[in-house]
Amino acid sequence: MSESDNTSTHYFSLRRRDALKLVTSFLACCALPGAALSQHQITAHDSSTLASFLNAIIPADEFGPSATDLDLHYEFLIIAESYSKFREIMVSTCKWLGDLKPMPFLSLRSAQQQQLLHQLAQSDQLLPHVIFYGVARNLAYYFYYANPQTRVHLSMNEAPQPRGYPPPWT
Amino acid sequence: MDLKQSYDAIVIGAGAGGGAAAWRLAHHGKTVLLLDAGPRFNPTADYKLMQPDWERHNFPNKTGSRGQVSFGDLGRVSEQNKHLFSWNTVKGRLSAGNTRRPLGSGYEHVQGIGGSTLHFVGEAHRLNARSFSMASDFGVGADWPLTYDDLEPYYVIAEKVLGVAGSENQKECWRSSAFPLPAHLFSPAATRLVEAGAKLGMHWQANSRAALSIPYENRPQCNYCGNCSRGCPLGDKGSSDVTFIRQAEQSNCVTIKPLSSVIRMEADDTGHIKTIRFANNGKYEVIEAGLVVLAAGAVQTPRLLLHSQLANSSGQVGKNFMELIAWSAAGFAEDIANTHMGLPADAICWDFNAPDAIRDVIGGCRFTSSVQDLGLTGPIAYMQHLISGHSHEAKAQLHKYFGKAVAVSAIGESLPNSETFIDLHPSETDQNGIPIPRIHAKLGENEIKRLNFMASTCRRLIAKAGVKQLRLEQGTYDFFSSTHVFGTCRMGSDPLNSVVDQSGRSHDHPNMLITDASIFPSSGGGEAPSLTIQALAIRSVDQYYHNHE
Repeated sequence: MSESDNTSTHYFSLRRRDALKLVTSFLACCALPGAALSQHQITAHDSSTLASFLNAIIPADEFGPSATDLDLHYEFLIIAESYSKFREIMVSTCKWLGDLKPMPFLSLRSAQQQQLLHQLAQSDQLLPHVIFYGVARNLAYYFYYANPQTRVHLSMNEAPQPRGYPPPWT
Repeated sequence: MDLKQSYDAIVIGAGAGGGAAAWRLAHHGKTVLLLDAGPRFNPTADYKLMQPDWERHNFPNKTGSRGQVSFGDLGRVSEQNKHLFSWNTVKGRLSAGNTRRPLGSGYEHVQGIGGSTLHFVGEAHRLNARSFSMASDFGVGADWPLTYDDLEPYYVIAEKVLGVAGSENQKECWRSSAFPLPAHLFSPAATRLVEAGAKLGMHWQANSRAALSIPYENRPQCNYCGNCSRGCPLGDKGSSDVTFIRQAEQSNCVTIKPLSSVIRMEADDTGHIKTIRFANNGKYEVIEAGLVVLAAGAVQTPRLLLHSQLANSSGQVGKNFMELIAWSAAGFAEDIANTHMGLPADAICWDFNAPDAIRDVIGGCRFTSSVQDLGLTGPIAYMQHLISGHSHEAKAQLHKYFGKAVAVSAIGESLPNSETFIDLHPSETDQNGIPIPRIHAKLGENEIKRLNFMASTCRRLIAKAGVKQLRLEQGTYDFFSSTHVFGTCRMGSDPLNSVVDQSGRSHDHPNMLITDASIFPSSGGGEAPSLTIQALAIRSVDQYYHNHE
């Protein structure tokens, strides 16, 4: 495990309150169909589905690791523990993904998963899984790009200070 | 409860106006108690710009650092003005429905030692000299009971304390002395906008900035990290804590009590403010003072006065509120790099700042380069505002476009109207049982016309800067989002229609000065208010002691 791996969880833990604010503000903009949601427990299968869903949003490639390489799914589970509205919409989506016909999301090929994500991204229906796509996408990038491992190819310092960006800038 | 009389002056609020007033009082050898409802911030520990996950940390929200506010009627939005709806490429339209709503907390402020200067980017503007006579010259709002010429010497003093860097040509704002520091270099994004502006016949120049272009007064020069609004850990930004308040403390005349919320002020039969009650760490204290300087800002100052039933014989406390009128646009230019580097708002265009500079609209505006102001300094912001989608394609887009964002913002004049004011919430109270302030803010016809001009000009500028496709537009047509707020305790010559006189002294209470933007009779054409607040505060203290000693 690299040094960055050792510290990544620490980075993520620091600002969970801000992540929650992000989720809250996003969900506040959405008219959730409350009747369609009920109390859900998160099963191991749900967790696996979530991990697969997040990896479809952020797969590993030449630009950086995948979502689960950085344990993003655990961050989602931690937020779900403390925020019931988020948990409900997340579990509802995982169940929906698990019940897809003819095969669940986990069994789809990568291209099929991407096609499904594309449909979710384009949809303007106020369905729980459509809303969750928007929340999960923003939250995933919020966690992901907080980790310096994901930024090594970008023209930026690990942190703005203490070096700053003194001129020249070209 | 304690009852003491050990200070010449009590200053309420440690932001731009309170800090400058405390500094000037100390300069006069007066003993000062400086109270603020918020905490002290430790730049090294509290500002996270040295951490790898820095982009997740906005300006810290410490206990007591945000005052509670509520909102009344913010007006409605119309499909007829849908070209003024806020949107970005990730979420589409950012507001829903047909009512105007607060964006985030709506009133973006900081309580604490330094106040909102702790999270400002540090623009240090003088008010356009023609903005002092809006009623006489244009038939709107109110005149200031003083002129730019009256204030000019105090601008010089404030600029020297802050270490303002700027360029000499300031149009209507004549100067009796040069800026203390040379202007900053243009960042890549600013350079592009200066070039774009020239193609449109607009004149852009270096903005005057309370950020050090060279070392000054034991403070280091700026290293252009671009994240001033997250809190400056270096101390080169001229926030009140490292300038006025630091110098005031060094005088040993000033005692600072953070986390001290003033609950009520009381006057005696002669009209003099006699006692101030405040809560500090759950303990209630009462204190007497010779002079009271109220500097809690254009929302909390009227709240305290309305709750204390003071200074309001004119009925004007809380009235004439003026909000921030703003528009921003952003996108990517292909042939540019490193636009996340440099100082926020480093280039400015004053061409439309004068009250009659925009055709068919009363009230001006200004334009600035705003990549850093919009927070487009890291990949999280890019992915949440500028780059939509997911998977390999989204990552590839980020790697293609990071450092290529170009953004321009406009801030414009806000004229007072009868439906825009601050009052006390009828039922909601804070932890001390004091009613919280309620903001009512409706845009007038002039504001919407001005927003139209600001939006269309931003679009023309950004296109000339090489942006083929806009990715973000955000404004105050559908959202209330104010960092600059004005009015509510208007300054004037007539006690029947104003709260304080030309020196900031209450018409009703001879030992009370108000030294924040609540006393502004007009907002100006988009200028950042902190330098004018500081100049007024210094002048108020000088005039008070000139008249009394």
